[in-house]
Amino acid sequence: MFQTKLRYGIQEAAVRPLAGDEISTTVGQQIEKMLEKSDDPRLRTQIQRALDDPQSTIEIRSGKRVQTATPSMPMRELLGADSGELEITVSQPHVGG
Amino acid sequence: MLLAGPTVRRIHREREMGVRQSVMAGGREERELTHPLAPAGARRPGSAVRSGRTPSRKKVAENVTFPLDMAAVLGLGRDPELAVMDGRVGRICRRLPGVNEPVVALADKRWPILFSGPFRERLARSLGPHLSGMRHWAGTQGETREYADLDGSDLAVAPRDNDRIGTFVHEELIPRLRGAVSFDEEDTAVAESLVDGLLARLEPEFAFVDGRWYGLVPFCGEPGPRQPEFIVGKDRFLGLQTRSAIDALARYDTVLREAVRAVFPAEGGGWKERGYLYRGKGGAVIRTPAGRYFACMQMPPYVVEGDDRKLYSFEAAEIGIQIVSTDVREAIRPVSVQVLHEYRHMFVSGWGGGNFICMPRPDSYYENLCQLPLEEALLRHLESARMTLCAGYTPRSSPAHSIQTLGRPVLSEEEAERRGLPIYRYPFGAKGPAGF
Repeated sequence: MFQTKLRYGIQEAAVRPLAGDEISTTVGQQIEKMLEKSDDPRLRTQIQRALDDPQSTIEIRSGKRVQTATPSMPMRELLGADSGELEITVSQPHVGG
Repeated sequence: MLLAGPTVRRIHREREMGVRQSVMAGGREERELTHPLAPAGARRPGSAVRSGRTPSRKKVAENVTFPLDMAAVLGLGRDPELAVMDGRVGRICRRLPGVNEPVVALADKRWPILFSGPFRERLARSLGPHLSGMRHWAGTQGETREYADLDGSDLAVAPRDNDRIGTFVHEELIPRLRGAVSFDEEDTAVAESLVDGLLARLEPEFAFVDGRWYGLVPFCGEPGPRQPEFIVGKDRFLGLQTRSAIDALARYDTVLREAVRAVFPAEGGGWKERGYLYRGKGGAVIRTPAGRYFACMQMPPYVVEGDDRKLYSFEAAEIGIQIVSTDVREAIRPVSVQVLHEYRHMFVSGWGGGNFICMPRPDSYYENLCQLPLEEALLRHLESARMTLCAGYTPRSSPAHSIQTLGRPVLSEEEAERRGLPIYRYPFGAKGPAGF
């Protein structure tokens, strides 16, 4: 079982355990499930809006490993075998230049 | 004297010249010339004693022995003549080449090149055992170098009320950052980051042969009489730039120190001595010798996909924002986030330490930040800067440098995966305004 944390930038939106049978869900589905746990409606709206934007970024931290992901990716591919903690960070687009 | 004619004036001139020459002959200039180029890290013990001078603190820091030189990193002891081509390193052997063997052709002679593996592996193997020593060396350099940049920048702002800023830092910002575990460095990632930094600074193709260094360029045609030609299968390279091997190694030693300095500020080691008031997973706080406070954030190594679909590797970085006021409206400014060390990036205009990140934001972005407590606003602005460096390269961005001109190593998907680096993709299909 993984303790999963959802963040929007540096703001924490929700924390919930990821049960074994949820490993087959996608990143987008997992985020939606976590949003149900969030008690900040503003943060919820911002994350949902970011998920709809293809320029947004999703980072998955599992132990020391950081990977980028898309909402359609299966969670199974992103989980490290030896980690009990998982952090999903959704970021809006930050264009440079 | 006023009535002296041309002959007397000439005698005076010659006497003066004679005195100058004898002073120079017994002075520092000649002593310097009598010493040939010493290998990197070698010191001249007793020079300060001989001259009767006490070396400055800066000089002492510089003289802390750098643990290795580029001759050792490149493996010139084992392969005194070598070529680096297409990411591979090979030994140049003084014997007749076999059929279809890669060769270097120089002055009517042909010698084979025996490639032994990827160049980056050789670098990683050479550098790995010396990380601790290089970290120590970088720690001794930091105090005299980095903060001088931060305090000496043209855009460095004199804080209005440093006492209040100090109180804010200790009572609001550091408690906000606490709770996260201590920054945990991983030597493998550090070594890979150092190799990336080095590869970005070295010529992609070069060779040491016949006592000289050659910078190689792809070539077709007839080479000049003294220009070596390197032939590997169908590829031909010409040794266009050249200099003595000693000069080239001296330059490479400087390049190695630059790469080490660039990596270790972000990776830890002696951080308390370098002015950090706090350093944790979520961020750090620096107080410079001149009393400026910076909120900082460390970025691990990452990969950015270019518009040419290639994957460019970026080493770890540390970014910071100077806290100029406890009033959030004065503290959060459009041009305020800096990379605290040398860093080559599309959105960093200069490559020296302390340059600012170009991150255009609409007024609404700043208005939203100004509604927050200062510590929260600073950290969100830093996070936005981090994401700009990682994921801000899009069809709508206008970079100061194109990603292809940074000299960044290009990795394969498999290599990035093996090294556990996050890949920030180029949004090819992205259209419309960014959401900020």
